[in-house]
Amino acid sequence: MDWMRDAPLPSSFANGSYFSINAFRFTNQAGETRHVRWSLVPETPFEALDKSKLGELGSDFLFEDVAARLRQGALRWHMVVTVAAPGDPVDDATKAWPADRRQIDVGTLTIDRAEAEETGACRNITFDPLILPAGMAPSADPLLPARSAAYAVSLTHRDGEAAEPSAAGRNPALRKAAP
Amino acid sequence: MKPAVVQFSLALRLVHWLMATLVVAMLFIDIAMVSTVSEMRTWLIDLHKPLGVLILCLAAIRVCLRLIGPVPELPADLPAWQKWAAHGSHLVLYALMFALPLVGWTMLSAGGYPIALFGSVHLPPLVAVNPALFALLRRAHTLLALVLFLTILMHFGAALFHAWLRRDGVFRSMVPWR
Repeated sequence: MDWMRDAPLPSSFANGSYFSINAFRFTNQAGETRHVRWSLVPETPFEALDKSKLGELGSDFLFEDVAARLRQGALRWHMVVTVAAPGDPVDDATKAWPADRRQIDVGTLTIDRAEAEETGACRNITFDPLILPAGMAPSADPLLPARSAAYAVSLTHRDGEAAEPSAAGRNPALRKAAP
Repeated sequence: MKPAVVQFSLALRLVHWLMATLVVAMLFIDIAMVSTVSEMRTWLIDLHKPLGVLILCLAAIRVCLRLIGPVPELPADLPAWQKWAAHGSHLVLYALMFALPLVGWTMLSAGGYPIALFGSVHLPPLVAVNPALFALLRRAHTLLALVLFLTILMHFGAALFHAWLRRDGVFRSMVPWR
């Protein structure tokens, strides 16, 4: 809670960074494997949320903001892979790595439109961290199998219930945002 | 008139005991798998899927073997309800040997999960992604596994009843030796 009070938080979904949290093992074509963490770093410059004004903002302000930004143009994030040095903790997501670790920009994520949850493709996705493409493998972090197990239970519950409109989906301003 | 057979064919007996080992191992793997969130869960799920496919293949072979050859009759003096229970439970066992792997495979397909067997060997999805179907089959998979567990316990109990109490040759008809 102290951290939430003291740290600057992004004012938008569009200007925040997103982190893999857990370490993974990446293998290159030569067969060399490294432990890495990755983050998705926005091209949109960071702006801190004014926490003193939170009470004046609507409950969907983050969704309305990102929908409005997407009407102006696509949003981009760079996938930045941070490579562990020998001795860095690779099985404990709670331990940060030193800031000077090698970072590689490996690709760009472009989001050019938003869809409402009810009609979009995201509602029934499981973000299981163990479903990985070739070349990416889990680390020994025990949080990964625990996340996988919990998300599988969650997916079964979500998939088994009627698709009620989400809170954001009941907002007329956001329904307009969906093409 | 052909002489009545007293034993199942050697092939059927071997497949029976091989499958018995695999299915019982599978049930214990499953219970361990769903009772932990440690890396053991991942490891056991990776074992569960190819084992399920192996059991499905063996079940298909077994049905063919069962249909082509003669099988021993139950003793004439066995009460009718026990004959009915024997045939009924065998039918349930055969049905579940197919249903469990197929429900599991269909369930993963409907949930949009990759169906990895080993390394880069993946099974193709059986159905298109369908969230409601995934939720239904995911629950059915658990329920059917519990029904299989109960049916195997009954089967095991009945086998010992024939072996030790009735001593009527029914148990001997399935032993791997002559």
